[in-house]
Amino acid sequence: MLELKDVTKTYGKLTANDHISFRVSAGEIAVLLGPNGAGKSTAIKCIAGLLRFSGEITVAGFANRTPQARRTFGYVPEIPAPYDALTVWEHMEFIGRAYRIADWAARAEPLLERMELTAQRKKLGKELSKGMQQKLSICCALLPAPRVVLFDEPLVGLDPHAIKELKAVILELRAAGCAVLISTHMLDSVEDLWDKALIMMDGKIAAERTRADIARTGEDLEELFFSITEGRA
Amino acid sequence: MSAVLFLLRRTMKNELLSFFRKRSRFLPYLLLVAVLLFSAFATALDPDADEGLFTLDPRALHLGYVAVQGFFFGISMFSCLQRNAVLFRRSDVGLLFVSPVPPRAALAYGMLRQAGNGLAALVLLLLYAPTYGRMLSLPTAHAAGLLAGVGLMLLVSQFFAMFCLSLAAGNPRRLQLLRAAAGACLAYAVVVAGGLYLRSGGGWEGFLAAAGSPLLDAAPVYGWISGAILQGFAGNWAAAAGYAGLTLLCIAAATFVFFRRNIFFYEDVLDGAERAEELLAARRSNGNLNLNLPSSRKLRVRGEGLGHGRGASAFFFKHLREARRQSLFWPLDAAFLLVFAVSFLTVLLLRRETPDPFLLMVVGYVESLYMNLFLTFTGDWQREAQRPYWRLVPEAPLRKAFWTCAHTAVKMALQGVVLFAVIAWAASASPGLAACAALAYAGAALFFTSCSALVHRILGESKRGILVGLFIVAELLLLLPGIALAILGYFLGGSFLPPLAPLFAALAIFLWDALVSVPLLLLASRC
Repeated sequence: MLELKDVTKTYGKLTANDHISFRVSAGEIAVLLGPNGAGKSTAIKCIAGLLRFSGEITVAGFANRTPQARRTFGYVPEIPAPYDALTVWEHMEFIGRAYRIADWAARAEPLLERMELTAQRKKLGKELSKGMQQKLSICCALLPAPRVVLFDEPLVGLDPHAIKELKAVILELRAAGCAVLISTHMLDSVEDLWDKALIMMDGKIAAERTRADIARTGEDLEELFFSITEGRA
Repeated sequence: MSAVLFLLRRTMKNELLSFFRKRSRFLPYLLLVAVLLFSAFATALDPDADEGLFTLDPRALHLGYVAVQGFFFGISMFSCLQRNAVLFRRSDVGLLFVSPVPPRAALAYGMLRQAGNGLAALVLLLLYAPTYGRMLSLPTAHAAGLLAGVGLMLLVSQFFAMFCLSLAAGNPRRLQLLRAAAGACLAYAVVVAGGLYLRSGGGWEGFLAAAGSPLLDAAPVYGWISGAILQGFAGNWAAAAGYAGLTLLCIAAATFVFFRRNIFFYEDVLDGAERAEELLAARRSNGNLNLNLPSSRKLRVRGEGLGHGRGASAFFFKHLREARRQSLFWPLDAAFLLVFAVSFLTVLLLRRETPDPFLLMVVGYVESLYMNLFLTFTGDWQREAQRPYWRLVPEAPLRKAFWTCAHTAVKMALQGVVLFAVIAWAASASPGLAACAALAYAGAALFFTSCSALVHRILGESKRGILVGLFIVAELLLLLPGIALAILGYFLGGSFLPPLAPLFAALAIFLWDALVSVPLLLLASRC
């Protein structure tokens, strides 16, 4: 569903992503783990089509920058940034128009309700708290019913209820056959979610484990993470 | 395209509604429009309006206008080519860029939004056209045309900058090449004007011959737009149409290449979008004009350590180190360049009318003082006051306030030295007169810095436009006794020691400003 082949991203002399390759299948939740500066957000931005890179990224078989691919994925950025002068409902309408979703209003109602934004539907983006902005960002990403969803540090700034709801949403996305990629540096926040863990260090995928691998070998993911990030591996 | 049009329509509608609902934002603008309208009507009804304050030679106006357009062209191109494009915001990155909306539609949206913002500022500027026209003895329509030309230039240059940025596609060598090309466009006018001046034998006539040369209009983009407007005013319709056609042709060619090649520009505007967000946040928290926002440039660590300072004075040396790390020429910031340009040009233009060096220095001083009223000097203070450790440092509040503001005041005082050295040269004034003006300016530096610190302390991060306006009036009232004392000092001191009259005036201003600054700082530190 989502496939990266030999993706390299450089900023001048700095190599932020160094020949990374991985795949997230339909109905799979992959977590991109790594310390700050490991290259997780760069990888997510490359997939979202915001950066130039060398290599190949396909989303549902389409090159990531094509309109077909863009219709297929949803992106939740690290820092929520809604339009200051659009209301919550108008954000939904904009996404509905941009993605040409005929029944956007019918889809938006339950999404907003689930994220407890119904009461705020007439509020402007700039009037929302950071947590609410994050919830709105998630609603915008999920409204087109994407088949691949990219979350960049999605739990930061959310209240406990919203975290619980978002985790439930992520699990539902998996059940519905979506490929989900979550970037985070907080392993314990996604402990109960992941099917595949990709540990990044210095722009490279240093280790890739599935839950089945861990169950079979008895390896401790946290121990593996620290051994890699602290240079003990 | 429907999504983009929806976004534009709703954004503009909601912005307008929110603007009219918030009286604290709306009233100052209403006041400004009322003042400008009054000034426009007063000028229109004035029987002597045609005479003007001073007559400007059309050739000097030509050079001045090309220089202003070149200045804005340079700023737009260089800031954009350093990845500071401001056409987009972070919300565009997170919502628009990742959607299936084609990049060309996203670009059209960015340009239209920018044009909309520019249009609002242009309407305000155009209200000023009658007064501006009268100042320069120009018909109001011409003054309005000149102002509109500046707005057009800003929009066109941003478009070209975006085009260049996309052509570079993140390649540092191509970026360097494009920056050099932009620099060459600017250098062209300087070289042509300089060459013609020297060939004409120098002097005022040589200057006018160079200033009026149509060769200046051949400078790409900024010259063409200036040429289209000024040649139109002069009735040279063929030349005006030629320059307008050249500009349109270039825009059309760039648009064609842009859309044909389907250039990818999202990465190039990511940095700019984030920077724009920071600026917006800073503007929201400052509430008024501050041209000294932290730069997005990468800082190079050349030397380490503060070197000096103990207790509260450590703040001063810390600021000094930070400023030197920002730029080797740290006292010469954007706000100073603005004050410098306006004061210098005023003196230069008045020199033909009033050759008295003392009077010209006074005009330069008053002009710079007036401009400083609208600028803020809270950069260092604001950065420290936001941090809890400022309060935790075990020193007397006044000492801390003094040393925290000291770097800003010293910087402004140094700016005064540069400003009045150049103005003295332009006014043919003596170095002594320049030193007196710089001394008076140092007093103003103390005064403005303490005032800004107090305003920031009282209004905090959520400054309201109308309250800032009231503080400006209060600042003006506090400055008046100093000016009265200076006049008194000039005449009284001058009656005993005539050559030292300017020094007595400058000393009176300095002492008054320093005296007033102490209670202001005390209040700021205790509030």
